[in-house]
Amino acid sequence: MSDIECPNEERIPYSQRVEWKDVVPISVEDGPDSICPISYLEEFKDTMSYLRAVMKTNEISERAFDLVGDSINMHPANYSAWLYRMELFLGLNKDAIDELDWISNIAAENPKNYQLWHQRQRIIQELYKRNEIENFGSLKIDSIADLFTKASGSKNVEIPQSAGKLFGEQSFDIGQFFSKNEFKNKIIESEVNFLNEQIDLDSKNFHAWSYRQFVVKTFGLYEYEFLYAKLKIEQDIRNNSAWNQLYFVLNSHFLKEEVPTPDQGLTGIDQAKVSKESILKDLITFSVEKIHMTPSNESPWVFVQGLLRIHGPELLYTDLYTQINQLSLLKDKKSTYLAQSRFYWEFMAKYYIQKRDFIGSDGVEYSEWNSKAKSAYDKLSNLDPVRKNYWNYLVEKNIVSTLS
Amino acid sequence: MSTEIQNAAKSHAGRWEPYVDNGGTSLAIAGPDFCIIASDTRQSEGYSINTRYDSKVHQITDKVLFATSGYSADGKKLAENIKIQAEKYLDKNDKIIQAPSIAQMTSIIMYQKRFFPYYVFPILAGLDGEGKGCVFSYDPVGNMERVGFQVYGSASALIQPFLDNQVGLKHQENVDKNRTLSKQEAFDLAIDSFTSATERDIYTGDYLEIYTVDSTGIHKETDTEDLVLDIFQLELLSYEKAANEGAIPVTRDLCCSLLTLLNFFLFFFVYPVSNDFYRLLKTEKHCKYLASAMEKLPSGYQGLNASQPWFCLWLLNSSYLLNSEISKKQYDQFIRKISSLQNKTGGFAGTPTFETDFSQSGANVTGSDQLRCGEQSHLLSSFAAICSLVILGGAEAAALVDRPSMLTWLTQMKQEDGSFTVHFNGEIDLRGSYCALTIAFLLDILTDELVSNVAEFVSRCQNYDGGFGPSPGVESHGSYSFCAIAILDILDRFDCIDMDAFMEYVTKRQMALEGGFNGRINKLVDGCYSYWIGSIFSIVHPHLSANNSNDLLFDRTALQKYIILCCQTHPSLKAGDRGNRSAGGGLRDKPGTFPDYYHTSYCLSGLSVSQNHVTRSSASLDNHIGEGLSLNQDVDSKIRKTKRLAKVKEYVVDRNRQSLFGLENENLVRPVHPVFNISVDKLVDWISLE
Repeated sequence: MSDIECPNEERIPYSQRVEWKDVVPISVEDGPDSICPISYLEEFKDTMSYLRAVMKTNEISERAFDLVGDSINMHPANYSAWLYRMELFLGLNKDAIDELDWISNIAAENPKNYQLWHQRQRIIQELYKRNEIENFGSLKIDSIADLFTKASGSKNVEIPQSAGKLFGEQSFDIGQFFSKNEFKNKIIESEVNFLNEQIDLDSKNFHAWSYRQFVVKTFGLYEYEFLYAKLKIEQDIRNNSAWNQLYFVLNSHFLKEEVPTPDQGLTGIDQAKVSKESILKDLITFSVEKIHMTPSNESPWVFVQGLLRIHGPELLYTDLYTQINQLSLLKDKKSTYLAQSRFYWEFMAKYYIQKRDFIGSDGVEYSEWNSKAKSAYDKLSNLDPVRKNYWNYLVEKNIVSTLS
Repeated sequence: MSTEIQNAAKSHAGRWEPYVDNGGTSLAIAGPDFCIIASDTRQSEGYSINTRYDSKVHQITDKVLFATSGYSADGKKLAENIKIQAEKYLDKNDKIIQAPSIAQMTSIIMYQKRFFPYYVFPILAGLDGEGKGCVFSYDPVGNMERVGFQVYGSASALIQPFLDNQVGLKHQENVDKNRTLSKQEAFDLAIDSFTSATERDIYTGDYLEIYTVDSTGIHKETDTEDLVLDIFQLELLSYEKAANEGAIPVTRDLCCSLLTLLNFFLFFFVYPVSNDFYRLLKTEKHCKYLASAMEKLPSGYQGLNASQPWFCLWLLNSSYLLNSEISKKQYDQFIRKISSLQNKTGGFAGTPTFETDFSQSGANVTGSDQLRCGEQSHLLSSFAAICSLVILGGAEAAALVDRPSMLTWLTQMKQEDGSFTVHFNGEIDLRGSYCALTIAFLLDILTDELVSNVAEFVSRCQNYDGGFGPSPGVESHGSYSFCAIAILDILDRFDCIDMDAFMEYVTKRQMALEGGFNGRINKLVDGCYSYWIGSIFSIVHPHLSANNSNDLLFDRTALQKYIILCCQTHPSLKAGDRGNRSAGGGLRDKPGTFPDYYHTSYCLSGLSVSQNHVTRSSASLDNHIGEGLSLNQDVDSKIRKTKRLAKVKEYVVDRNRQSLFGLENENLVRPVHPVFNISVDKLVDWISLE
């Protein structure tokens, strides 16, 4: 580790170090006359060839631990080195927090690396397996409402109407508020801080959001994550990773167990009365508000329709339709944008078809709804010519052609 | 300072200067059947710039151009004069005046003003009566010479020696003096000349106009890109202003995508898309780019040290698509390379394993050691290795793989829930599942144990938006959606997903303006998704109800436009696109990035799936519905072989539904099986070899 921390110090090749004299390096280069030979830099060749040598003998030692650290810094995509690192971490009984911090440093340079995220996951799983996780502090998580009370220092504080909204408007650093002060367990604190940092750097980091789901599931941070996802949406309304995360917490917790979301908790709804429907209705309002702001933004459109398709199809063409329709009737500039949005017309086409099928082919208005749907698809073909084949396909599939 | 200027002005008072040198440079190169004329547009006087948009090239007839340098006003007058004479000639003789006649006439017009000459150094260039390229150069009093190439103007001292060497082949040893320049070479030389001259000469600069004259007429390329960039930056500023006022949420990604859009705007509106230089797939350059990698990879690729079969696959795949053969020597080298990656315990690693150590006689590595450490086998590496072998073909390649140990290892990777871990204690995602099933299918080791629950795991990865993520709950992504659909095709299990929702998701990945695909909602376009997402449309095609239109459900021409125009680099363009600085071949992610071998392979594959209509014939599909793929090891191997061959051959190329953007014979790449990205013939050969 010492060479990493002192980059100015001149690097001594492993081949010239006394403590490595007993090891015969294994070359990383192919023999002569090979295809696609990589022109490795000297430092790379030196480090990797010694790494290969200790990996071959599966040496469990401090010097091997330092060497593998050095080599991962140089070449983080070397999955075999990460596996070996894990062996050494376990074999040498290294401190978990130190190791997580070390990985965080690697992440600073290589946020798109696959292995480092998985390594963190393995460390945590290992701590669980060994029943050591509680050594780092209690795993109990305070509810958000309790945290607010505590933070304000009084029990009779007026709780804000919508926590997510409040955070967005005041750009209140929710991450700092919860993670720095309130997690009793050091591992949770480390992971949440690390993830928040990484997402601040790249708000759509696929690996980070994916690993976040593991952390949320493992430690039950659903309330926290609900607000975090909403905050990220407020910060960037087009951040689809955040929309997906919002769906994830709803689908795996709030809608599964019918518990109030923090928003509802804070507005003081009687918990007993909270039903799935009230959660969904809140989310319709939330999404439609975002659609109003950015009608051409795919994220809220697919979020709200997907959410209702899976959890409340009966609301799709009733509550959602009503709210979208209200938007289109607003006489402001944004509602004119709505009429140019392909997502709007796609939704309308689905709505017309649903109406048509609800009436049934005997109904008087059947052909009227049918032709409305047809004209919506025609509109889409003009508005969105790159998907012309798809819109035509939907016409063939959904529109009854014998009616005109 | 101001007094100095005033003094200078006083000392010049009363003097009349009839001549001014307005700087600028013009160049012409004659070829066997074409001619290139280029000129910058800066017009200056001393240290001041009069205008940045002054054109110095004038058209005389449909095959002759006249480029000037020196005094701008004289140049314009002279050109006008010549043009009038050329028109008179047409009037009188009812035929267009030929270049040599114009040349002679120009000399006379100029000599007539022997004692108060036009202060111009003109170049007349075009095609002569026989259709050959010709260049005539003059001094201000009309001395004329027919030359092969000529540069006049403020940077002539910089460019002329360069052209003497490159075009005239002066001071070069061992060159074929009879060698003729191709149009593209001459064009590139003209660009290079001006690019370097503008670095040194302050009188040459701003925009570059290049004309090509050939038998089809005169074609103009304008470097007005920068002009558009200026306008666009103003546009961006107003966006930022709007953002500050809270009008629209503006993010870094949005600005970034606006900048990308600019590039498309340039291509589609500023540059005529009809221009052959841009519409051409630069096959020759790409092949050179591939060949150089097989020779040697630069140190920048050392990060791929643990993914070595991947660059083998990228190179082999690209070479195949471009119809470029690899030599027997290279075949042997590839075989040796891939064989060095195979582990005795099954599978292939990304780095040569210790068993095939070149430098040391191997120590004993037991199976259990291999499980815990060492150069581990990886599902993705194994996939790339096997696919490389299939493309390489031949008995040697087929015999190389240790199939029983591969099956043992794959089974060890299999998880109870139907997923696969990419290596021992590795991450679990759909990439692993796709690679595992492909390997098992290609090696005829697709057992019930490997198949069980796989489709169920895939269906759990489908999200609320219809797309697929790497594992349940994680955001939908184009590449993982490909993995999911490819798996379902191998297993014939499309029953377990919501196809309508999926189509809604996947059709939206094509960008309305760019024509390429993005990998996730609200992300930027990327050339590699041309294959990952483009191929999905071929695979799902027969599974869509009521698809009578029979074309794939995306805009095939728009995708090809994106790949050809934006994923290739165009050294003649710049405008903030640093990728254009690399003159070599290779394809890339998007404008502004550099080419690499990964993007080269998947952009070309994307070109293949959009040009060629390769889908499963629906007749054969009926036999499969509900049946699934029973390649159980209990079944006789001959029956299995027949079944696998039949399955592979179901993908049929429909030549009538080919869709081609650009040049007919130049741009077409070879068709592939969309699930494996390998041609059907190669797959058939591979399976037949067993």
